[in-house]
Amino acid sequence: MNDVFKEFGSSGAAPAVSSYGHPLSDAILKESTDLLKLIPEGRRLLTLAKERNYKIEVISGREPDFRYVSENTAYLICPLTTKAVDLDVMALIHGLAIYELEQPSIGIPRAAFDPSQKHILFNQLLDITIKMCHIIGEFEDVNKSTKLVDYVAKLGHIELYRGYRSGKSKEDLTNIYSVIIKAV
Amino acid sequence: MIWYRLDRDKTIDMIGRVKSAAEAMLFTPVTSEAKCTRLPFLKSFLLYRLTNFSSLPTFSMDFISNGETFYYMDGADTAIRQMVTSGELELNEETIIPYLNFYYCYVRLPEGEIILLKNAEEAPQIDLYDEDRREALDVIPEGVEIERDSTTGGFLVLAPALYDSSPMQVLITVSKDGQVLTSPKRMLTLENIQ
Repeated sequence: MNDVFKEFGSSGAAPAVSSYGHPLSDAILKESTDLLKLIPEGRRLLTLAKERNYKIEVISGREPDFRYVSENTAYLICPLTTKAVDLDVMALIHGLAIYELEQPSIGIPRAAFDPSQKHILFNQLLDITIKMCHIIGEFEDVNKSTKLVDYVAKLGHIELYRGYRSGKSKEDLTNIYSVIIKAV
Repeated sequence: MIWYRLDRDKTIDMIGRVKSAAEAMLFTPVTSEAKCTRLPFLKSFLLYRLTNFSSLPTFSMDFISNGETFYYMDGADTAIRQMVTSGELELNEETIIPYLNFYYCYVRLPEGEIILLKNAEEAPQIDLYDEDRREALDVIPEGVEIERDSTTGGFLVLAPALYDSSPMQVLITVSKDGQVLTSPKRMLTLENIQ
């Protein structure tokens, strides 16, 4: 029986991992950058990343995602099997990772792990989810493709996206988002 | 899944074992927590999760480990292959469904996201943010059929699944060494689910 309380072994030096870096990191960054260049917000974010020397790296992981790790560094997470990953999704994630680094400088503070900061986290997530709708909307206009719209539906945010696209107010979008994440 | 939290010393030990030189910022002992859980289809290896609380939403990385060697779950089936090589994988009628739930949760497939469903009614309620549901390894689909292939030692499983966002009945072929092949059979509606 596997034992959850067993001690870790002590056979010599710990087998430290050399890197979680994705083997196709360069290609993923190049191709997602090329896609971002197709839309106005993508170009703005890429320029910002360059001006501020943001470091964007790609590590392998279970599913496409992004994580801020310091004031100027973020990781894009991409499954090792790239056949299973849509490049449009990686471009979206690339854009959002840059935006997450930008957030504090435009008055969107980062929440700490503290229940009293729940409202800060809510605002941070709402803001980045609306930015996701912004980027997807621009891709939809340029590519005439619903690929990313299908992705936002999969994430459970299709109503927010439709609301954003139909020009609903920030207050209306906040209400939609609250219901989606059951924050009401 | 029932998770067991690791104490501070073990957490620090684990971080030391999985920390990479290149991405040292990923985890620090001060802001990270580690926990582990049993996987019914592995003899002695456990699933470990290391979570960093320094940024929100929190960030986690999962590993399969025996406490000595940590195999990172990187979206491919690399760690599962390692388990096969080391004779850890134990597939039988009781473990095959937990194994498939785990496999679909951790291995990214070209055909898209697959989740075994309790029933067709569940399909509209699942989204990508529903981590708890996606990680529920003990979910047994209603009407699931499991057949052991006595010649190969593998399994054939017929079950309802969310197959790239559509509720389908799927035929899953699992080889003795844990390789999974999923074929959609028919679209499920709320009426024709068994």
